[in-house]
Amino acid sequence: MNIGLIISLLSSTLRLGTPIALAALGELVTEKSGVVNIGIEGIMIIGAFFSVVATYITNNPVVGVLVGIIVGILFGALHGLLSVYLYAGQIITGIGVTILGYGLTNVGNAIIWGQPGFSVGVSTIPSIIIRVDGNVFSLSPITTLTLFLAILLHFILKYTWIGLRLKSAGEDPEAADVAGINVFRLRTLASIFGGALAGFSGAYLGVDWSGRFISYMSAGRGYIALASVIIGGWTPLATTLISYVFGFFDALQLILAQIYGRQIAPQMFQIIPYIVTSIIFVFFFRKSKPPASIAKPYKRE
Amino acid sequence: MEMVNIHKVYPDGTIALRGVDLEIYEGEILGLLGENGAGKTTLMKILSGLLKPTKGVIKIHGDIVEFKSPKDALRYGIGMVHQHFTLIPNLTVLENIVLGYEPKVKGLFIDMSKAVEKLKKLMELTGFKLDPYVQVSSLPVGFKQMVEILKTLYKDVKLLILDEPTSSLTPIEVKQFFNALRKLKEHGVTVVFITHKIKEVLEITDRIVVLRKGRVEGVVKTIEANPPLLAKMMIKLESKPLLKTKHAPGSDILIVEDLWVRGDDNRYAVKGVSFKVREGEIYGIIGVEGSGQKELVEAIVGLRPYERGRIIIDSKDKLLAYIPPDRTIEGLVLEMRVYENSELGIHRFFTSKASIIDMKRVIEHCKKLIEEYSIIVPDIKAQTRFLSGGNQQKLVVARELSKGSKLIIAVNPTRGLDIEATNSVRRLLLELRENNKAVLLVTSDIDEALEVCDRVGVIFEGKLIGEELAEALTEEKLGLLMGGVTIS
Amino acid sequence: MIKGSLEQFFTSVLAVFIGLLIGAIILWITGYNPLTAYGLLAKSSLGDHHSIIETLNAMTPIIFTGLAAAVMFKSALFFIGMEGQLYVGALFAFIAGYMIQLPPIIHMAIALLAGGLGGLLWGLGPGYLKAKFGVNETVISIMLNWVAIYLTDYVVLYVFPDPKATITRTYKISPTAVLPRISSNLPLNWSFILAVLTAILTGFILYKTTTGYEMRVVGFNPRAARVAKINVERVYLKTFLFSGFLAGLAGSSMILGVFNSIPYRFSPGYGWDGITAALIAQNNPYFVLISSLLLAVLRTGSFGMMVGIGVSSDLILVIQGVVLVAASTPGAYSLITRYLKSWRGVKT
Repeated sequence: MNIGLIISLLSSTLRLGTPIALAALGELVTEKSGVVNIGIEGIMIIGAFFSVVATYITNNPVVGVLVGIIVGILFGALHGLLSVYLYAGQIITGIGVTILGYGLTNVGNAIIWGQPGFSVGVSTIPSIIIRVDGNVFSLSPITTLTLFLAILLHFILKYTWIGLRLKSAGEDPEAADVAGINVFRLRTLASIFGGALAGFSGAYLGVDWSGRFISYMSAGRGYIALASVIIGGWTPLATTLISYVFGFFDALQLILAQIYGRQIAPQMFQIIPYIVTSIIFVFFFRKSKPPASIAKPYKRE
Repeated sequence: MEMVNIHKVYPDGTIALRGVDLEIYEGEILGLLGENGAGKTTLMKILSGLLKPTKGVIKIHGDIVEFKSPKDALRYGIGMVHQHFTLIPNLTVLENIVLGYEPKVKGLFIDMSKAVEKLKKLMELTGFKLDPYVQVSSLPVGFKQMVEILKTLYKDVKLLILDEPTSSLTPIEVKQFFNALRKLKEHGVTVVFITHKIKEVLEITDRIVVLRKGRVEGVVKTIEANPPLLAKMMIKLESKPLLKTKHAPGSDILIVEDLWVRGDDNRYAVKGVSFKVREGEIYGIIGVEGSGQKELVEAIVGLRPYERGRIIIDSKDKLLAYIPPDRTIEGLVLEMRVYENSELGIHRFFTSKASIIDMKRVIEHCKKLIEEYSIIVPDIKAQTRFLSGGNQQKLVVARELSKGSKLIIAVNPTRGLDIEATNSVRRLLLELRENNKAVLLVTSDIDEALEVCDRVGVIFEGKLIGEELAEALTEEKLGLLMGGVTIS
Repeated sequence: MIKGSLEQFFTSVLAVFIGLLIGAIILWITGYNPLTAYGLLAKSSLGDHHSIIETLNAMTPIIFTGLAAAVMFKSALFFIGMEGQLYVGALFAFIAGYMIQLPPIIHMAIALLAGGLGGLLWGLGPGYLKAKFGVNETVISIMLNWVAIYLTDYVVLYVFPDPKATITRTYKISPTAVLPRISSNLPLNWSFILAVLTAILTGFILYKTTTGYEMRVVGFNPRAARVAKINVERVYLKTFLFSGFLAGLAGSSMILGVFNSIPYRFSPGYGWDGITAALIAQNNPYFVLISSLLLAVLRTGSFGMMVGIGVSSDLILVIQGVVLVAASTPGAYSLITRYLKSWRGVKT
C-alpha cells in the first residue's frame, strides 16, 4: 500500500465518520436523559435538504449549516415534547420521523429542482488542506469541531451539574423529580440538543461532504449512530471513536470500489459498512448497560 | 404551619382526603398515625409540594402559600423523606445528596469539597456515619435510609417529614434513628413522623394526629395517649381476631437443603438455607427487605438458578401456586382482559387439539373465580387495569389457588391492601392450612408472621438465623432476630 | 365498546386525520390545491374498475408486511426490517420460480413458500440474537434492509439480468410458477385472496391459540410471562420466524403474481407501508385488512396525483410519517378528553 492511499483512506475516514459521530453525540445526550430518538435518521435527511436549500438561496454554506441545525432543533423539540408530555411510544415516533424525513425531502427536492433524486450543486464549507509529500489531505472544519465537542461533552457529563442531572433523569426520573429537578424540561432540552446535532450532521452531508442534496443520502447513518452510542457505552469519547471506526469501513468500501470496481460489482462493496456495523454491534452489545429508565415515559402520580 | 380543609381526589376517582385540618407547631415531633390507605402519605405529599390538593390551602404563619413543586416547599424549609427510596443506585452517596442543589464553581462545575464539608457537619449533627464516595447500590438498606435523611437535611430543611421511616430498619437501627431525631429536635428541626406503628409514635413523638379514611379522627398529646386508645381511633371497628385452630401438621411437602443462590450482582444472596414446609402448616419466612428472601423464593419457583443444595417438592402437582410480591409486575398483565388473566400460567390446560384455546371454558373458569372469591369486576372482558388494587390481588390469589396444588408460596400477599382485604387474604391462608395444604409465607410484616404462621424462620443476610414456633415468639424477640441478634 | 378499545380506535382515526391534514397543508404551501390533489388521489385509486384492481394489487403485499409488523409489535419487538425481508422473499421466490421445473399448482405453492422461507431466514439471525443475547433488534433490522436491497440489486443487475427487457429486470420465471388471475377478465391474482385468508388466520393464531396468547403476554409484560412459566426466548424466536415468513410472502406474491420477474428496486416501500398499516390497526390482524386498504389507496392514488398535477408521489411518505408520529401518542387522547371535561367543568 502506498502512502497516498493511506492518506486518502485516513482523510475519507474522518470525512465519513463525522456525520455519524455528530449525530451519535447528540443522541447520546438525549438517551442519557432517558429519551430515545431513533428518528435521527429522518432529522439528518431533513437537515441535509434544508441546508442545501438555504445554501442554494444565499450561496453561503455557513447559513446552510445554521438552517440545518435550526430544522434539527424543531424536530428534536417535536420528538421531545411528544415523548415527554404526551408519553409517546418513542420507537414509533422515531420510525414516523424517519419516514416523514424521506418523504418531505423527496417532495421538496422535486418541487424546487424539478427532478427526482438529487439537487443541483451548491457551494460547500471550505476544507483545511494539508499537503504531505505531494498528497492532499483535506480536513473539514466540522470534523475538528466534532472532535472538540466530544471532549467537551466528556467533561460536561462527568464533572458538571448538568451531567449529574442528565444522568439522574435517565436513571430514575422519579428520584430526580423529588430532588427538585424538572425532569420534563430537562428531557425536552436533551431531545432538542440531540435534534440540533442530527440536523448539523445532515447539514454536513449536504453542504460539506457532497455539496448537493441526494435522495436518501443519510443512507442509514442515523441508525449507525444509534449503534455507536450503544457500543460506546453512552460515553462521548468511546462513542466518537466507534463512529470513526464505522467511518473507516465506509471509506474502505469506497476506496476498494475504486480499485476493484471493474472486476467486482459495486454492491459487494456497498454492503460492507452495514455488515461490519451489525457484526461489531452484535459482539459488543452485551457489554454496555443503558440508562435504567431509557425510553420509559415519566408520569407523576 | 397549618393545613386547612384539605381534600384530595386522584384522577382515577379514588378519594384520599375528605377535608383534613392539621396544625404543626415549630420544634415538635408530630406523629401522623393511621392504617394503610388512611391518607397520611397523600396529606404529606401535598404539604411537600409533590401533589396538589383538590381543595384546601396551606398556611405558614398565617399566610396562604401555594406549592407547585417540591422545590417550592423546600423554599419554605419543608422536605420529605419518602417511604420507598428515591435514591439513584448508580450514583455515589455524595452525588445523590447534592443532586438538584449542587454547589457550583464557575457556574458549571460542582464544588465537591464544599458539599463534603456541609455533609460532614450534617453527619455530626445526626450521628450518621457514611463514606460519601461509595455507590449507593452497595449500601445496606439501613444506610440508604440515612442517605435519604441526609439528602433532605442537606437542603436546609426546618420541617422534616418522614414517611414510615422505620419499616426497613432493624430494632437496633430504629434506636439509633430515634436518637438522631431527638438531636435534630434539639437543633430546632420540626419533624412529622408518619407511621402505622403505635409503639413507635408513643416512644418518639410529642403529639399525635390520627387519620382514618381521609379524615382526622383525633389529636392527642403523646403523654396522654395509650395503645388501646390509639388503636381504637385508628381502626374504630374492633377487628375480629383471626381464629387459628390447633392442627397437627403432616408430612414434608417442601424441603430446602443447604441452598445457595446468587443475586443480581452475582454475589451470594442466599447462603446455605435449609428448612421444611409440612402439609397443614403455614411456614413463615420473615426478614428485613433485601435479606435474600426474594432470591430464595425465585429459586424455589424456578425463576432463578441455584448453585448448591437441593429443593424437593414432594407432591404430585405439576403446578406451583405462587402469589408474587408485586401483582402488577409479576402476577397480571394489566392491558389484557380479566378472563385472559384468569388463565395466565394455566393457559395450556384450556386448549383443545392444535393448541386452540377453548374460550368458553376460560370464561366459565373466570366466572367461577369471581363468584367464589367475590371479586368485584366491571366486566370480565374489561382490561384488568380497571380493577381496584384489592380486587386485582384477589384475582391473582384466586387464580393461583385454582391450580389446586399442595404447596402455596405467597410473598407479601397483603402489602398495599386495606384492612378488609388484608383480613380476607389472611383468612384464606388459614383456610388453606385447614385443608391440609402446605403454605410458605414470605413477609416483612411482624404482625402477619405472628398472627398467621405456625413456624417462623428469620432470614438475615442470606442465612436462616432462627426458627421458632410462632407461639414461642414475641414481637420484640422477632425484631431482634430480624436485626441479626441471635438469642442464646 | 369497552373503555380501552374506544380510546385506541379514536387515536387511530385521529392520527390518520392529522396525517391527511398535514399533507394538505404541505400541498397548499407548495402551491397546489389540496382538494384537487386529494380528489385526484381518490379518483385514480378508487375511481374506476381498473384503478380499484390496481389498488387491490398494491394492497396484497401491504397486508402481508402489515401482518408481519403487527405480529412483531404484539410481542413488543421493534424489528422493522420488513422491507429487506420482502426483497429476500422476492429473491427466493424468483429462484424457485426460475430455476426449478415443476407442474403448475405445485410449482406455485413451492415458489410462494420459498419466498416466505426467504423472509423467515432473513429474520432468523436477529431473532436468535435477540432471544439468546438480548441484542437490540431495531438497529440490526435497518442494517439488514440495506444489505438485502443491495444484494437484490446485485442479482438483478449481474446474475440474472434480462438483456432483452425494456426495463431493468431479471429473466421471467417459468409460467408454471405464475399465480393465475382470479377470473380471466380480472387482472387480480390469487395472492390477494391468500393475503386476506392469511390475515384471518393470523388473527386466529393471535387471539385463539396458546402461541398467540403467549406472544401477547410477553409483549405486554415479559416478567409476568416468565413467572407464568412461559418461555419468553422461545416466544421471541417464534415471533421472528412467523413475522419473517409473512414479510417474505409479500415479496413472493409480488414476483409470482404481478411482475413474474424481479424489476430493479421494485418495491416502492411496501415494507414501511406495512409498519404504518400495523400501527393504524393497533396491531390487530383483522384491522390490518382495513388499514392496508387505506395505504394501498394512498400508494396507487399518489401515482395518479403525480401524473395529474406533478406532486411527488413521496407525499404519501409525509402523510405516513405524520400518521405514525400522531399514532404514537395515545396520551393525546386523554389530554383532549381532560380538556373537554375541564371546559364542561367551567360551564357548570
